[in-house]
Amino acid sequence: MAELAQLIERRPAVEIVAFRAPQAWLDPLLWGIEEEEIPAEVRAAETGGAAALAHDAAHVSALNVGIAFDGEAGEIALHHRDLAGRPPLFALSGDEIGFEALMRLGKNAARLVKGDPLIFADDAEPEPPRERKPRLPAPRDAERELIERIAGLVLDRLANTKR
Amino acid sequence: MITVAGVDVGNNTTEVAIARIRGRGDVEFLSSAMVRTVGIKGTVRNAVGIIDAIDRALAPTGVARKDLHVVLLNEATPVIGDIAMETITETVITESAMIGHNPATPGGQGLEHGRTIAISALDGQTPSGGPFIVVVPGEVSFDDAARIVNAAHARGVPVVGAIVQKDDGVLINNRLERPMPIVDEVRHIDRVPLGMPAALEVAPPGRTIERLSNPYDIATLFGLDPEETRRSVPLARALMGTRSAVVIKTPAGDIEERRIPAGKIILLGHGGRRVEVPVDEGADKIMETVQSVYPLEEVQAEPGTNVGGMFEQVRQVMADLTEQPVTSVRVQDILAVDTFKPQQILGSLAGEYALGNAVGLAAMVSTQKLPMLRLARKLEEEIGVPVQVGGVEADMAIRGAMTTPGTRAPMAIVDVGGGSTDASVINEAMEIKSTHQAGAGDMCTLLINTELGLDDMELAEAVKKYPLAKVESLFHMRHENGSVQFFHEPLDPRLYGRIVVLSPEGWKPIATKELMGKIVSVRQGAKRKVFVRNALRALERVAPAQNVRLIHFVVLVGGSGLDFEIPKMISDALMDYGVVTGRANVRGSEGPRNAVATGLVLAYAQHHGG
Repeated sequence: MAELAQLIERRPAVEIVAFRAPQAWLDPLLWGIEEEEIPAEVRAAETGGAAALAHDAAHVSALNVGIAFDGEAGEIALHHRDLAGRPPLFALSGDEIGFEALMRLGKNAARLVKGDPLIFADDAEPEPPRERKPRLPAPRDAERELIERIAGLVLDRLANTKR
Repeated sequence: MITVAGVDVGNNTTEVAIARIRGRGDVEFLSSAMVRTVGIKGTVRNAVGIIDAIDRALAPTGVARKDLHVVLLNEATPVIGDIAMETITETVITESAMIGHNPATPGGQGLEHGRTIAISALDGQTPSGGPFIVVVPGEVSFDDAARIVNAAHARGVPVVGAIVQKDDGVLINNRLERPMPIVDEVRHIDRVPLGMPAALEVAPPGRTIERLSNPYDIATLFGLDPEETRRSVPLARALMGTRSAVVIKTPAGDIEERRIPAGKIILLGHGGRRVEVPVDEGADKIMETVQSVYPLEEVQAEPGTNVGGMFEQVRQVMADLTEQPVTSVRVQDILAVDTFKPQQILGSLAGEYALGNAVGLAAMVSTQKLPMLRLARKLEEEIGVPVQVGGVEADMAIRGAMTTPGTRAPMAIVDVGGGSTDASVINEAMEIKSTHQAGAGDMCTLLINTELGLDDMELAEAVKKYPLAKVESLFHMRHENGSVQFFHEPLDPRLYGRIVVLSPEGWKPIATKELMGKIVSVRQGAKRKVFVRNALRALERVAPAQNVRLIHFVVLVGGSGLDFEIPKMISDALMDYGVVTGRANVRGSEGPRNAVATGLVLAYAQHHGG
């Protein structure tokens, strides 16, 4: 019963569970969520296993999104409550964990809550043109047109006499 | 008794009808088939697709291919269309003077003005130097930026707003002791002029800026005279509808809307009539003039201008396609449509767009007979069955369409293809009259591509053909009509939160910030501007006394008849004329497909018998 009361009192937030996670991992993730203006809260975990922790965190989160860090295994997972019993939506491990990737993960957690399109590392940013592409040169003048017409007629005639 | 095959090679599909003929006019249809056309219509490569289609149609009948008495091939419509787009206005910024865009999450809100200053130069400033708008490049982290601004505030230096390169606006604002409006995601921050008077506005969530999009507010903020205010109009217009904006006044800075001299179209009518119409007067003026000169002998364009270049290109494409010299290619009809083109503003700082006006032009060229005879010989060689090229396509189509239950003469068919819109009418005396109009499916695709700024013709084609949906969760999407579809497996996270086209080859996300309703209205607008307008134009030309009311039945044939909204649109437009409009149901079973193939068989049976 106490647990239920705890759930009811829980404020809406992305639930983050950290097991021996360095602050350098947590910060960019939290900044990503903050920039997207969605609340988040962090709790410490006693045991590791990023995927399982994230799964449970998503289940507890009033916003249905949970993220878990396992500093020992070098793993991070993002889960959504709708994906109960399935693998996490996003998982990072080893070299994949970096400032940009963590900030993106944070933004995506918030975007999942907002229903906004997610962002991916390979999203291309279009470059605005600085200079106008030169237009094709003026296509024809009267003289060239006349020559073309004559050449066309000659070709037509030739094609017809061959048959 | 003989078995024959009617074959219709179209731009997109090859259709076959197999029938048994017992005697003159006594026909029993056995089967039909449809495959994708192989190669360009009218070339010998088509034979591969034809044989495939015949075999598919024959399979259920038990008739062997070699036992066919004759294969009847359509005489292709001798017109080809092409399309082009000509921009007539563009927006240019000289010396970057404004930023106006929709970052997902700007910081703070309100309107402020001051002089632009690099954040690195803020330390040495005294309270009397301000107010300042601070410019924060990507190398400066958000907490450093916040710390420097807080320190400046503590010294009494008035910093009233910030322009930030990265997506850090909210983060900086949350760390400021005194909040202020912040415009972020300004990619080309190095182009922001420093030491210049600037105004910055961020609208509250759900609103768009109100002050910097008003020329008189800009005049008030910068003390502009009436002439300068007049020049600020394109700037104000470019900022309308954005969530955040910055306007910077530089000595030489200016933003202008340029009109591009597009050139003139020259219409040549019967008896040496010659009328010129400038393209930048817009589509309505052009079409009005076309109507007044009709029937047209030829359409030309002023050489050496943009429209001249465009016509040249159209003629070159036609020449290549039909293997004729360019000089013998004559443009015989045009359809002009007003459109707008979101263009990235030249010299922009954050990838801003402005809407440029444009005119879309579809041109149509009559060709000499497409080389169907050559295809017939080739096919005959391949299958060892006599092949006949018979009947004008439009005549065959109307014969086939007449098998639709509930129709009788006088009746008209409308066939919207890729390059041209064709209409034919048959009167009580069974006389047939046909017309071909420039502008059809490809034109519609071009308009969608341009107006949505997709820059992807394949995606634009899909947007034209299939409905949209928005992926609202990992497990459900909301269709454009509001209904919700649930899935038992999670959807691709790349589709999450996006608008997708429900193409049968797979769902394609549309990379746009536009709302779904906007995309739907662009799609329907393009269809109305091309299909509905052209269907009416075509019917007027074939109708007795140019009066559409005198046609009692209008039947839509071809692929466009299968479109999910075109039949309704054309039907709505023809309601006023008291005409029965609907999609064909050839032989009561084939829908709008197979009209030409069916017509070929019927025409043969009428003349030959079993």
